[in-house]
Amino acid sequence: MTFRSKLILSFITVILMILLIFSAVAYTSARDYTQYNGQILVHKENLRLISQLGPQPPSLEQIQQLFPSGKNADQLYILIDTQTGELASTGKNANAIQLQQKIAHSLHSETKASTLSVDSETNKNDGVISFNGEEYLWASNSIPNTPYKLVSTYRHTENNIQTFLKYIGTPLAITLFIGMWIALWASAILTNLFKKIDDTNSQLQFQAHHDSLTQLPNRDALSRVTQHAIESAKAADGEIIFCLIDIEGLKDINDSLGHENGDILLNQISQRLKGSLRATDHIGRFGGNKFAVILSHTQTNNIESLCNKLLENFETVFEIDTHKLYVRAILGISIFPIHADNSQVLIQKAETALYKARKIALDFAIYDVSLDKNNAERLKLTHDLRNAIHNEELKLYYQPQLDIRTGRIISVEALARWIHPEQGFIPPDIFIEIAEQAGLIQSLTDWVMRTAIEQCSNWLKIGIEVAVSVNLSARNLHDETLGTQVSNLLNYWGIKPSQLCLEITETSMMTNPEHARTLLDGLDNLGVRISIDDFGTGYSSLAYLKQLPVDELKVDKSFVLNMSSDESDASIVRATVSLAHDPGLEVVAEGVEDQATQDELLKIGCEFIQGYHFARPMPAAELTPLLASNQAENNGDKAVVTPTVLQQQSR
Amino acid sequence: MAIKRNLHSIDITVRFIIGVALVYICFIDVDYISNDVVRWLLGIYGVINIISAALRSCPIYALAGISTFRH
Repeated sequence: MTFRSKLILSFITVILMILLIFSAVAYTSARDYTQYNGQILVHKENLRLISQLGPQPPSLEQIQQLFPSGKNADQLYILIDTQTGELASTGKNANAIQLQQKIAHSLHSETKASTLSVDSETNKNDGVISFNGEEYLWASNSIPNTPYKLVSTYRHTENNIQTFLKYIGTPLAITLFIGMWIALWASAILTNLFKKIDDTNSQLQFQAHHDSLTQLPNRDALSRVTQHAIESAKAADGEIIFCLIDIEGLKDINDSLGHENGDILLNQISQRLKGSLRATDHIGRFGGNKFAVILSHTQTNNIESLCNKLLENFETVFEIDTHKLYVRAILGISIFPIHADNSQVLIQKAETALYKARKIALDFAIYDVSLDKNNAERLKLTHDLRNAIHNEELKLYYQPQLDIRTGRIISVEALARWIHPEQGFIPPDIFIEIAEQAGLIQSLTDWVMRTAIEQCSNWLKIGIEVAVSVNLSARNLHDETLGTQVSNLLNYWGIKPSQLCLEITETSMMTNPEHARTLLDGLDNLGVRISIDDFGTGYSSLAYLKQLPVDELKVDKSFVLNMSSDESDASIVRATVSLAHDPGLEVVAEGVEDQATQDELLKIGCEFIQGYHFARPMPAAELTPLLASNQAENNGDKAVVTPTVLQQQSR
Repeated sequence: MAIKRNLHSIDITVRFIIGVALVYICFIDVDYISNDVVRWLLGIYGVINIISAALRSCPIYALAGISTFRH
């Protein structure tokens, strides 16, 4: 039976019961009220008849003359001798006589038993008596100055129920109909209301556990499903493969084709993945561009084929309107019970595996316990680096750049070095990557710039005028306040803007070219020099660079290192130098480690060089004598600083 | 707000007939029902039926999520 049927039945039952009770109460009340009214009328009739007698004591004949002579079968008058209890007069027919006798008997015995309602003041009594299946109302009043009582009887009704139904039944039936009608509608409305509440609740519950875009279980639901799968696997002594799928390039698709198309793509991916799974497997959206698949009842020895099967979903093109898109996916795998025994840790391990796969450009990676060790170390380094930046425990080293045409130091590049109290020297590429990922790069650059400009000012105080280069990261290019900060620092330390060179890598500049251009224009207006670092490793073009206020290019050391032995590297450097000179840019070659390279660079017209051949990066204290010597030479006091001299002094 | 039709033609006809009959026995030829309260209740019910037939829409149907109208 449906909820609606139950509700209708309940309402109808309640209405019927109410009406039944109401009918019974109404019937008895109406009957009692009618009897009460009838008895009052009978008494009044008795008193009317008695009042017609004179003040003298009447005889029996005089009293009998009072009774109406008409033959009304419903009405009987009785005179009872109160002394004997016998009838003083009788009716005309046998029925009437019997009724008279019964009433007389009843009256006499009940008066004696005092069970009838007796009003002591008016000396009256009355009641209802059944006779031959009919009810009679009767009332007796004493006739003054006589031993007689006048008892009048009236047939109450032929059928009380019929009379009741005649007057009350029809309205009750109509009320019943209206009640039923209201009950039906009330139950229909309530059912609809409950259904709507149920629907809303179901919808809310669904939304709480599902992703609104793909309708797949969300992260919370996945966690529960994973735990459930683990419990089942524990019972069956089985294994669970938790596979995290990261969709690459979704951001680019969102940016170029719009988020709507990105959403369509995600839906298509979810459909394909769903289609490739068995009924016992589960899939969900882990958030952003990640999906998760839980493979139950499977063997972990064929994990590679399972991964390849999942990756096959991405081999065919995705079509959105007229666009044909290829998407790459990376999988991170963790296995119950090998890697974890609860959902939370299993998911965490899959994320670690995914990170590894992404880092070393694999299609998929299975969790490896050594990854956690690396992560723990990395976490500690991040914490230590934060403290080191905050407490200014990093060291700033400076590597000179030489003008190979004159052999003079024209500039130094400020390079941060970290000597960890426990782990010793931490390579810059490691701690700078950590700083970038942990959001510390801005603080690090601030510190480097502040310290470098301060050092530049210190050198200036002792008569050494040298430019200093500071590296900026991609994140610094999003810092709107960079220009103001640089300007304030230069003003504070009394350094000319041309003494500061900011180095930006091609790659970081190309992440947001428009923004980079605005920022570089601002810095150029200050008079600060701009250098493109690691040139040749990114995707920028000279045509683009020509539009930027760039002063120099630094050819990446990967081309310079082997240019004396590798003709193709030499060609690249030659071409770069030649192309850079065209729009008037100066060229710095990094990674010069031997004389042959230096000679080659001089031959092709490169102006400046930087590398271990002349000097490693060194602390300011070590570099100061070299710079002093260089400055003296500049002033015409000493000979040119040669790489050999620098090498000897820097060691 | 536009009233949305939710009554089928048969539903409308039945309602109209019931409504007219009830209005007749409750307000025109009043001898059929002696009880005034019941007479008024039935009369109002009849009027509601006529109104819903005229509008071709039953508000209680709308509340209960029912419709006999088929497009």
